[in-house]
Amino acid sequence: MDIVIDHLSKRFGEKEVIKDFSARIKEGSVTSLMAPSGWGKTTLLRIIAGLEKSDEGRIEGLENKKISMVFQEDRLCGNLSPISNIRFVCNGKVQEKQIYEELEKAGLKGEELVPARNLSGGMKKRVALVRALMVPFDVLILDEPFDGLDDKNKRKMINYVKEKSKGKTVILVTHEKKEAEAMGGEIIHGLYCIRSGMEPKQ
Amino acid sequence: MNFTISGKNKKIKIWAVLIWLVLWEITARAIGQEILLVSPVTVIRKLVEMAGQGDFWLSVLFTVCRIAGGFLAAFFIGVLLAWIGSFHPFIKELAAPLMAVIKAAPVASFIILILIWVPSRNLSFIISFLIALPVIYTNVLYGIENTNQELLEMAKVFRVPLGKRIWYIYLSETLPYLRAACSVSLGLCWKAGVAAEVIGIPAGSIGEKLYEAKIYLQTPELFAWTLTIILLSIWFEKIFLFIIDRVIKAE
Repeated sequence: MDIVIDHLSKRFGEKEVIKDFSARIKEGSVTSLMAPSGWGKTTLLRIIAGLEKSDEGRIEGLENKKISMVFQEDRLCGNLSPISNIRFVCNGKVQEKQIYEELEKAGLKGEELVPARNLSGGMKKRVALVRALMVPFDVLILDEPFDGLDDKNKRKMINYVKEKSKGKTVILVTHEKKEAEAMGGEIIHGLYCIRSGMEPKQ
Repeated sequence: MNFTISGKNKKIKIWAVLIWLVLWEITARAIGQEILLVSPVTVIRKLVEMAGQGDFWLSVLFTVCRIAGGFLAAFFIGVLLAWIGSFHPFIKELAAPLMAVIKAAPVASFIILILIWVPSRNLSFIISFLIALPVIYTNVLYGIENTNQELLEMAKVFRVPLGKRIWYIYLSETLPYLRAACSVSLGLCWKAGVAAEVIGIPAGSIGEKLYEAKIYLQTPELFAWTLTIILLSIWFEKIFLFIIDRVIKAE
């Protein structure tokens, strides 16, 4: 079932963040949203993820769907190792051996038991990506997931995400055109529709 | 000499303790009157002598049970109340003036008031409870309210069960505040609890023994009981904080 975003609006106090936004995200597709900072991309993702409520409009097609997400920040429990962070969200549905294998694929071999707070920013981001992809999901929300990664790791993780999310609905927010293109699928440039009547700056 | 007695932040050097003990001994000898100031050697001798009597241990047991009991009651009720208060503003707002009054009111006022209502044998339990409750409640509430919202959102998105959220997110954020609250309130419980016993004079308590030492001008007994209270307070604090530290480590 497609995700239908129908005339969505959201304001924080006086600031109108999203105004009358409508879109259809096809089931099993990759959709990349590109727009300058402060244009409501993250707010839109938060509404889709159920972390924020819209003031007007509605989203259809998310009923009974499992969502997984990579946030802008790594959002790892700092005192837990990558293994424990992943087990924390997997609720015992994944074997430890499997987690070790996935972390190795993300280039994190040898870091599996290090407390997350002691990992570098790029490593934390990769752990967050592995975590999001190990949880059973129907919709994957990625909020600037490759930020902070060097080119080599970025390429590696883009391929990893593509492989692991094959056939699933992926919504990506990025300000790097290359990342959106590499992920494939539809790209919504500038988010004209997020702020109807406003032209993008770029 | 580089030996230390306490933890990371409150290091007490053994050499400093020895210097103070020597100064105390010299002063006591210079004064030469036990009734005014006993020497540390006399205090230790008196303590060893008292420890050989069953009555000493009964008094210790009486007071430990009540003060530790009051503290533990405050610990569980404070944590529970803070937990409920963090989700229900009504409970938090209702508890706020009560905690403020308990915190600000002089202990002596409470002691006198409570003596009207309850038998003196339960006085130190209630005073210990009242001293620890606002400290534990306030700290735990602060810890819960300052729990990392980003992690809670992450747990919500990933549909993490409540039990796991409590153990891995709330507890890990709140335990350091709880630890600090216990460290502060445990010492206060012993001070206020024994003071309450001295005023209420419940039979068979440490407070009663201190009162008798004062009445009969038994300064060595007074010092020996004081040393006993200090040791009990330190041991109880160490044991309790050790348990909390183990929980923090287990996470």
